Amino acid sequence: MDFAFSEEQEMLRASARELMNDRYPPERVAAIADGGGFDREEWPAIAGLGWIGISVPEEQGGAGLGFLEELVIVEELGRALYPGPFLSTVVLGLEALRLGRAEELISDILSGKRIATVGWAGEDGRFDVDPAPKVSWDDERLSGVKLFVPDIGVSDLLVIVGGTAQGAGLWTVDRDAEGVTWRELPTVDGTRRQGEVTLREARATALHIDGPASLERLRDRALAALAAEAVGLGSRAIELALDHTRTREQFGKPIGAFQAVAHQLAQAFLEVETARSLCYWAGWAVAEGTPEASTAAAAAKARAAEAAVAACERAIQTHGGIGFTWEHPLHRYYKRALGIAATFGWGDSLRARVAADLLDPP
Amino acid sequence: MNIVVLVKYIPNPEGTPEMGPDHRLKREGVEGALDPGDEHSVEAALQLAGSDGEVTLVTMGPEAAVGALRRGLSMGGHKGVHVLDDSLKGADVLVTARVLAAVVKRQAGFDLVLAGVESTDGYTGTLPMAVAELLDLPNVTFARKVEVADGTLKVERQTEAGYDEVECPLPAVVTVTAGANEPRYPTLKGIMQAKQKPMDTLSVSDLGLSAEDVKATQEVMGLEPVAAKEAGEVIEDPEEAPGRVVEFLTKAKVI
Repeated sequence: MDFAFSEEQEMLRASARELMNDRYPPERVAAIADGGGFDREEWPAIAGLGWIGISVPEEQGGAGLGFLEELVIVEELGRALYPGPFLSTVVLGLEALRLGRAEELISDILSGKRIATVGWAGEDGRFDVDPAPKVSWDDERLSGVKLFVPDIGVSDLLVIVGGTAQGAGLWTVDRDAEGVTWRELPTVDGTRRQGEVTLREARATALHIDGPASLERLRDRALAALAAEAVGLGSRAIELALDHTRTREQFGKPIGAFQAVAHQLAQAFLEVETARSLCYWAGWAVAEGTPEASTAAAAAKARAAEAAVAACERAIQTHGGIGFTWEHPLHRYYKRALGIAATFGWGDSLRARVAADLLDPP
Repeated sequence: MNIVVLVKYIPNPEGTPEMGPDHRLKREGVEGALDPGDEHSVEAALQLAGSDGEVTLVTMGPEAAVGALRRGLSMGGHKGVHVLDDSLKGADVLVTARVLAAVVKRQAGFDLVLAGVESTDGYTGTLPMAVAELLDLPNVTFARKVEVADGTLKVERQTEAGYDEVECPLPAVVTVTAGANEPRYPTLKGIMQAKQKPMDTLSVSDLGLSAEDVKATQEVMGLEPVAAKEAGEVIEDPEEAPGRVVEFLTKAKVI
């Protein structure tokens, strides 16, 4: 059995890396993160490359590839700390609209005309597939509060995941509609801003979904994608540390020659590579819709986020003083890793789910 | 319009080049890419060809050189020709030009041949002219803008002072500068289609060339690193400095 990526998948990876190197080098990402945020005028170019509809079938206007190809791009975006709304619009928003069969909105997303994000967690901060009944839906009007909504500042369409007395639901709301207020939250990762949305009898459209099963698919995509981002950025942090340890000399030798430094990076490499294996397994399982998809996605995100956080910590340590400066890109990697760890469930809750799945298979 | 673009696969332009025991650049077993300079000629060709034209990419090189063709095809090129022959290892400019000219001749009804100004690895900058000479075609170099109107080629030719407006009949060989355009990124569709596009692999004999035609007439005898630049002379005495500077410039025949 051949587990390697195909030539096309490798070309896709190379192409994504090239675009990121050219358009979003670290100094540009820093300027976007510290400045006004991502400019939505840059989004149609991503649509032009065909990335938005990468895993959407051709007959629905997409490229007809799968989630694994989407994951290849996401890993590269993570590696570059791409500050655009790919996770929110492509991984989450577009899939949510597809689950709810919102055809017109789907084509607006595919063309790059509209940017969607998903408001999932409520004030409890949980991303449950059977959300507690905290939103109210009455007479085509939706009320509730959503936290940690990614890329809220550049999105114009909100897909709301929530629970009512009737069960789990999915709605679309225009971000700038009457009854909607939003603000960006002062979260740690400036390369992916998160917001709070408050809906007070806002006009919304309910999408028909198959209850928790649809939300489970959406969550598993998000978990696998977050794992891929973590693997990408963790690998990059290790590369930065390796570059430094090969050139920085102490006691007449490059510092990488000292065991105390080398072992740290070897451990980081080991953790990120095992996370990579889990991540590709999760990507495959989600793409194929296999029964272990949810377990794989939870395992991948738990492991990858923690591996990335640890890799960044070790890389910063290895860099010495310069690793602590604002000018060095490492702190942004660290913050994105922390952001990934905190979203869609922390490692311990995901591991609890993996354990439950293994002990009592679904 | 049918356009032939001469492209080259070069060792990773961002890496440090490795030299082989024959004092030549190591091309096999190293990571490589389509020469960034060639991306501009591919882009120019795609723009000129429009929706009804055809862009044929031609390269000569080891097996991995097919990567350069695939890249051009993923940008939108229509077909590729790869000349792959062990006897071409170490080919000099003239041999390469003979091979590429022979490929171009086989492309029935071509209107234009485009190439980069010079390769990013070898920098000879003479290949396109040699190809033009062998094909007995006019050659316009350093194009910063290429247009075709009423069967005539109009080129803005970059010069040190500005640019010349040059016109010439077709077919012709034109070298395109990096200032001519912004090469497109391959789209997802382009990447997925690249492998399905027609690709010819030809040997020297397929091109009707003899062993004599492709025998390099040059050999690299040795290789030495460029001597490190020595530190300049610092004159701290303001009284002495002007005289010494004048002396230095006089000696250098600048004044």
